[in-house]
Amino acid sequence: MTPDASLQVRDLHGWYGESKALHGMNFEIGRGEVVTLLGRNGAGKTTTLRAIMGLLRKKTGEIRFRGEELCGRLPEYVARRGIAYCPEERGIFSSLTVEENLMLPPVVAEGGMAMDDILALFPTLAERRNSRGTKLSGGEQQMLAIARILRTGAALLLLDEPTEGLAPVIVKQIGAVIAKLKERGFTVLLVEQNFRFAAKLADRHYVVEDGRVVESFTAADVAGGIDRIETYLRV
Amino acid sequence: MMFELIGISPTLLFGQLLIGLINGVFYAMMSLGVAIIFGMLRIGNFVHGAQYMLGAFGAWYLLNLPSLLPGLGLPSLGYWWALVIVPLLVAGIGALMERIFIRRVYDLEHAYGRLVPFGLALVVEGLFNLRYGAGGPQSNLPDALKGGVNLGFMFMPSYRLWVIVAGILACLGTWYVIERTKLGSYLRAATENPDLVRAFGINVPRMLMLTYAFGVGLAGLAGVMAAPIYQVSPQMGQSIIITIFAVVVIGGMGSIFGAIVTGLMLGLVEGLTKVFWPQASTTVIFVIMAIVLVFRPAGLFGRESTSHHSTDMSAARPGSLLENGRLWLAILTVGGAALPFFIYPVFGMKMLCLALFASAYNLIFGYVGLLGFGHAAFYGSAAYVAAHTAAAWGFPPELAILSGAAAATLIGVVFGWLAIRRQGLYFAMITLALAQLVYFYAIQASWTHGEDGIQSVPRGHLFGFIDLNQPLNMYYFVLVIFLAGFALIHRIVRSPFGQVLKSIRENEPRAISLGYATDRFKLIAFTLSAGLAGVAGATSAIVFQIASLPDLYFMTSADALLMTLIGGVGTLLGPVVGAIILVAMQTEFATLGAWVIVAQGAAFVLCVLFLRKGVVGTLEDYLAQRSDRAAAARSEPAGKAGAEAGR
Repeated sequence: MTPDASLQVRDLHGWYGESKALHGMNFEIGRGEVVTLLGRNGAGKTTTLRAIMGLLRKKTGEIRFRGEELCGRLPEYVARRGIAYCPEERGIFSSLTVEENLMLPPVVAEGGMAMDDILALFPTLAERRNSRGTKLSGGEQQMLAIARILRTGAALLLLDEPTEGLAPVIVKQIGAVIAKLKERGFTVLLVEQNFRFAAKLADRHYVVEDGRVVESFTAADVAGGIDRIETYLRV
Repeated sequence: MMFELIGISPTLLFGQLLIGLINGVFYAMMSLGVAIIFGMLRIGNFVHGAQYMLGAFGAWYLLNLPSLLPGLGLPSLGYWWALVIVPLLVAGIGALMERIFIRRVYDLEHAYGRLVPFGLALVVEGLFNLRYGAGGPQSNLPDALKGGVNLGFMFMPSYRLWVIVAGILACLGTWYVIERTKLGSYLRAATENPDLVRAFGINVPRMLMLTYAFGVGLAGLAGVMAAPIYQVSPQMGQSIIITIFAVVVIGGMGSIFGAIVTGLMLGLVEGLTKVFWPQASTTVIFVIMAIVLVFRPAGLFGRESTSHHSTDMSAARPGSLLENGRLWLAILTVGGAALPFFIYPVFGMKMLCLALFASAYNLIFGYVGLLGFGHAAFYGSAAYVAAHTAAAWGFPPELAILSGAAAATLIGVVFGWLAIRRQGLYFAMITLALAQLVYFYAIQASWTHGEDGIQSVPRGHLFGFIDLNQPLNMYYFVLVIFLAGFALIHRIVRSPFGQVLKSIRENEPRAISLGYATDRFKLIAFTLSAGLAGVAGATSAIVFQIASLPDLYFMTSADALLMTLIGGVGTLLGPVVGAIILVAMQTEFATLGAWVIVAQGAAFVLCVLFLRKGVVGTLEDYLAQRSDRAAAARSEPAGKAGAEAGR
């Protein structure tokens, strides 16, 4: 265990109703690290994020954040401890304007980014402040979904497939944003299927299969192990 | 000049418009609360009327504190105090209701979110009914608002002006909070995706409770404001809530502003109707609702798509012994034939009529998944038509019953055609409102004899030679009708047509994608259900020799629902068992008068909280578990023996 570990997940089991989705997840993230969970559809990546957030009710195991046990806590409690969640489906509220969407998540701790800094990171959002959330393109929605959790002062960001279904140029922009977030000291847990995207950003990778971590390696290992990783991710 | 041309005095016109506007203010405040609560909680707040009534009584209680709680030295608190305190108190009661009862159905099928508030409404209104009967106290006008202003063309009482201004301000304030503030953005976001809003750190459950309390507080405020104008009575909520539902259907619940505008507008329309066609003023809103449904099913301001989602609450286990139609038809035949030797035939006939009624209701609720609140319209209108044809036209009983059933079928086609345009809560509200239309008609028409109903209906001679005045003859005739209806429903459900109905219940979009015109199937099923409910109603009119307003009252619809729920939704025997329980309950409480309403309301709530599968559904589960265990026990010793033999 690294001494300054931010999040530790130990032996996490989770269920959707009767069907079991997580079979003993184990991984950890150090403060300021960008870590990915890689894996195919249905491997349990999203479920892991939902379990950390408290959105998955039926679960056992340990989820320690800054030393505090969060397994069994309600989502609103988890969020207030400083974990922010950007869901796969983006969750932009259609009845709210861009600005309202941005301002929606309450500030949970000091040290969140200032609005001006956020808009500097996402210039397109500034232009569209007053449009309804659903009037945005897919890329803009994804940016909005990331932008709105930067204000809150959360230290750990859970990003669920931020590049899914987006054009390469947008994917590149999002990659740049995540790199900047790392510079600013955010800890990021990134769920990805797009390994080529993740490889450039992350310090460490975990490969998830059938609801458990089957392999892990650092950025330094990637060059040698890329074939093996591709095998894991191939459909 | 203009007024002389149309022959209406300006005093009358403006007077009625003023009354209409005031009604409109109350409609707006109430439908706003209903819309907010439904938007956020997906709860059809049938108890809204009762909460409005609580507001009116609350104002009166505060005024009479010294005499209500003597010895405490409490002062009498007037109108202005009531205006502040009562809405908060009513909101507090609302918060408790949410905390204790309503919260427990959020994760269940949405239909339960209609049943629990409905049950609570019966309990609250029943209790006040016990204490105050049909009458009620009169509340006084606040001193500051006595008198009025002469506007030249009319006299404007100050209090009415105050109600209009304050009511509209309350509505606009609500609109502002929801559409323009941070809190409002939380509410709107939580309406769309409550989980994600929680994951941002907002305590959504508490917000839901406060939203419910706020909507209810608005009803309480309306009640306080209404107390000096209208008669304060336990029934005041019941009569307004059905109108509110029609208003909500007309406006659509997509827009806060729409709810306010629709409420005001319909109040004015009602006022105008009173000037030009007084008899139609009680029904005009329901007629407008029907017209809107034809031309703009989503409502005037409705934004939401008319998504296809039926209610699958079926408790049946297909293979169960209790679902074996042939077996139970035989058992019911034998049991039914023996019954009059153990209980009074009248008692048995009541059970049979209600069992058929509940079975008919179960056809649409249990097997198609449509929760309607309007089956009283079919039961009652068939009762009236059968009674009328038998009493006034001298029809023999079999023809009288057929004509009653035919009338119910016709009404069923029309109501079904209108109601299946909408789903879920809307379907429930539309059927309730349409049934109320029939009820108002029966109050006003001459052939129905108003409050008296049609009495002394002759039982006559069946096929000209079987004297139905003989109790046993009558009983066996009713038994045959029941068995035929029971068999027919069983046959319908087991037919290919019935299989399509079940597929609609389980997943309507999938049924559509397989090429079924689901709306047509629903309409046919609805019509069949209405016709069979009509047979039950017509038969009861002949048996009890009377057709009267209670047959058409919404409590009759509630009976059908309750019987199905207690017995087991979507089960073969559930409605029959439910009918036996209901008749037993009504007989038990008969001496206690209005307590029966309270008991029925409590039964609704308790069933949803503790007996969701009903008696029969629970029994089927138990039998299935027992046979599973038995199978496991049989295989286990065999396995052990095999293992030992192998050793």
